Amino acid sequence: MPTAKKKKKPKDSIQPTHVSVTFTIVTPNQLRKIVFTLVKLSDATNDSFSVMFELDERADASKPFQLVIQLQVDVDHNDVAKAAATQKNGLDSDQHAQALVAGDTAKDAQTGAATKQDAEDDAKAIVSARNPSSPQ
Amino acid sequence: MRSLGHQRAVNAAVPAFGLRIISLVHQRSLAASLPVGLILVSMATTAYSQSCSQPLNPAFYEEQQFSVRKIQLQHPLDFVFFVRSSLNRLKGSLPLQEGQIFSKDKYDRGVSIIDKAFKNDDAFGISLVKVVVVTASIQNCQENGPKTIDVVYRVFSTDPVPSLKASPEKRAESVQEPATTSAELNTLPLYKVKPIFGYEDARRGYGGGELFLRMPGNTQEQFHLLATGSSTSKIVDVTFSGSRTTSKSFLNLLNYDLSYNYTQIPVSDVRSNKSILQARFNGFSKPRDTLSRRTLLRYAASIEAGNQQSDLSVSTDKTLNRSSYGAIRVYVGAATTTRYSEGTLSYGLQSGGAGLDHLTFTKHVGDLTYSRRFPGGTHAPWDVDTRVSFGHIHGNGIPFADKFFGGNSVNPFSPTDEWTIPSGPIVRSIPANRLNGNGLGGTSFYSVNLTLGKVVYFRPLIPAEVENANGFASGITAAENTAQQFFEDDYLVASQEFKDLVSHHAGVLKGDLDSLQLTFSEIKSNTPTNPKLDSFLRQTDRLLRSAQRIIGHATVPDAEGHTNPQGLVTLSNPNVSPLIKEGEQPGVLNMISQLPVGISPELTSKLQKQKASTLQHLEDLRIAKDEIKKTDAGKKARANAERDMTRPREVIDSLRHEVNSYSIGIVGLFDAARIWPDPFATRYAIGGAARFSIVTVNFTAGYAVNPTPHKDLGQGRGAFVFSLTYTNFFR
Repeated sequence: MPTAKKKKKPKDSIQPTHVSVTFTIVTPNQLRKIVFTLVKLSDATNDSFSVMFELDERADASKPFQLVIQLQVDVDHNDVAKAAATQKNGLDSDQHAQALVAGDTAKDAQTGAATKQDAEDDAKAIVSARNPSSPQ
Repeated sequence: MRSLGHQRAVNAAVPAFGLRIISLVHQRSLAASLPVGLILVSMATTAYSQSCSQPLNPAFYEEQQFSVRKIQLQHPLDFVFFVRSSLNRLKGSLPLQEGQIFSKDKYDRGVSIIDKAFKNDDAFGISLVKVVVVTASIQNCQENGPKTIDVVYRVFSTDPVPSLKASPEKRAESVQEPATTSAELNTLPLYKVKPIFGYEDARRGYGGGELFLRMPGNTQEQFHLLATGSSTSKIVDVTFSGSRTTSKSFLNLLNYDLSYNYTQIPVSDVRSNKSILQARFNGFSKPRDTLSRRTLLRYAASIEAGNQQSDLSVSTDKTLNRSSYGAIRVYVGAATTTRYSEGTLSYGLQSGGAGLDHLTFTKHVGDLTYSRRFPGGTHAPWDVDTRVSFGHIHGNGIPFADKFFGGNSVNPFSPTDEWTIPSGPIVRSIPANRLNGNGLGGTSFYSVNLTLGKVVYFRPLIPAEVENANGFASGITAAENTAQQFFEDDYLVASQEFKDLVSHHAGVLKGDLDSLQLTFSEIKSNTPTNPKLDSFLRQTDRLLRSAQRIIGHATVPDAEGHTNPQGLVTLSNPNVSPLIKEGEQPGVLNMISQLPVGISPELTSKLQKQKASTLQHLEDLRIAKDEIKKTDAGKKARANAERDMTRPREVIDSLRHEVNSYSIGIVGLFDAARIWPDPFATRYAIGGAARFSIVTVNFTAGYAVNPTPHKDLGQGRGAFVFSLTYTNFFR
């Protein structure tokens, strides 16, 4: 236990097998909620990532949110570096824009204007959309 | 709503540094101590530590048939009763349970169950941005002998903590009763009954009860009854109170109440009774937030009528020992907080006398408090707390209980209000009400209180091993950056400049895509079919429809009236655009580079021209998107987002780098106070104390020496000082 004058050596850091970071953003008009979860799984040799994307909406800000769609996708191995950068630095503006597009596509998939595959592709593309000039 | 609507004393004892003095609710001292016991119990942890040879290989422990010795859910606020209770319920719902053989699948599923439970939990209220970080790890592996492991899930959530209140007293209330306050914020029980026990110098040991009743069908109004008694005192308070919020910035919140208050409390050695009917309102302005400061204005007014009696043997023109009673009070003030400091300024004016038709005296009181931590952002800061109070009464016919009495706790200017302005000099070396001038109380006073404190021993709220856990700190940083970026985007998208950008480029690109779709239709009509061409046309059709959908959502409101203008910029992103994406599944324009055989040269040439034109328009969009961030609209959006995130970042940073689950500190105190008339001039207090803190709540106990004792006046060589204060980590 540390004291003010004499700091003890910190304990060894823990090596988690799972790190899950969930961002929940409610739009300013409070009618739409986007939940984006990035999960990192670590084993002795490498890290892998998966993404959960959820869209909730409501017509009235005083009513509860209703789930529109929830998608779970594994991050393409080509995007592992972007996923790691996202987990470290957060979603950038391009990824935010893609998240909103994924939300629209998810809604379109329910009306038949888009396919379930379109919705999954757009959700997976949230990680891919990262701008190369954003912090890596 | 007023929840502290009963007789209280402003505590003078050890307003520990960096810690604003709060009004001590003596009746609650035992109730306030109960959470402490719970906290201390929850702090007890087992000293069980074994290292794991393969902490990143859960499958190993499954194959080796390890059993689960313990499952821990750790949360920074898990010492709060109802958080701990929620964690225990959640733990019971996990697929993996203690005593079972370890299962990797069940262990994995636990992470998503915990994550889901926290991200959906609105018990602390709903915020526009919420971040939940969950980590799972295998620890304390006993690999020799009985094969056991511990499974540890750690949770960090940016849910607002209950101390995030606008007024200092509300924050004080939330730390005095942390568990119940947080729960009540959202549950609003129909009634609440609470026993009260306590001790204070003037009243000695006392007991009683408190009842709250919410008005049926109205969450904004309540009935409150409080009754306590002791061998020397009686207090009864019956209140109907309510509150309203308005859209006016100068009156954002209006509290009102009608109450009957009976007090029988000894003042020095004089028994004093007061029976009052009172109507009052309190107004609060909308908090004004800047990047570094939050300021709140408040004001109140009350009218009182009743009677007062004392067993004072004499009644003079100046001091009435028994009479009817009437008073009108007006008081105003401001509270301002920064991350490391807090200040309040209050002024009160009372016109009173032997009835509302006989107002013969005027009372003025003022109070200034300021506290600060040095250096902020550390777990072991110095802290300084100052309080300067003064008062003056002029006129005649002053009821005995309305005069000024000093000591280590004093009556507040408005006895039944949670807003506390001292109505007497605070000097911590003299027992309550023993600084009384000639025995009849004073007509003027001042007091200055200074307290210095230093944390000497602490345990951080988030232990170092969690803070250092791989992915924990970066996850929080990522979340903060994400929220700020989202806010910036939203501000920019709402600007007229961005709307103009979208309107222009969406129109141009829509024309491009319409032309491309027409050309592909011509190809389909004029080219002999073959499997490659069919596949090509199906793919281009799918991609063009995706792009058209993006343009449509950017410009045409859906059934709920939503548009998504920001989505348009994804068309210029080569990583994801259905038009220019590169890689194994290229965008439409890249597919045109590798047309299937059989398409006529004219149509090929037409496609190439359309591709060049569309590429140019996409490049224009990309440049416009980048350029708009450099304009005033972009800079303003960035500044607004930074402003919006300043406070959440501070809260998260304080939780991680400043708040201790508990700490021990030393405290020094100094007071100077004087009352008039009094032949013995200025009194002093010099003392020291020890402070034990649990998160934001501080318990201080010590002794203050009186350098000029007057035992005949009940002013001995010193007095014990106790206090319950809070530290404002969250402005």
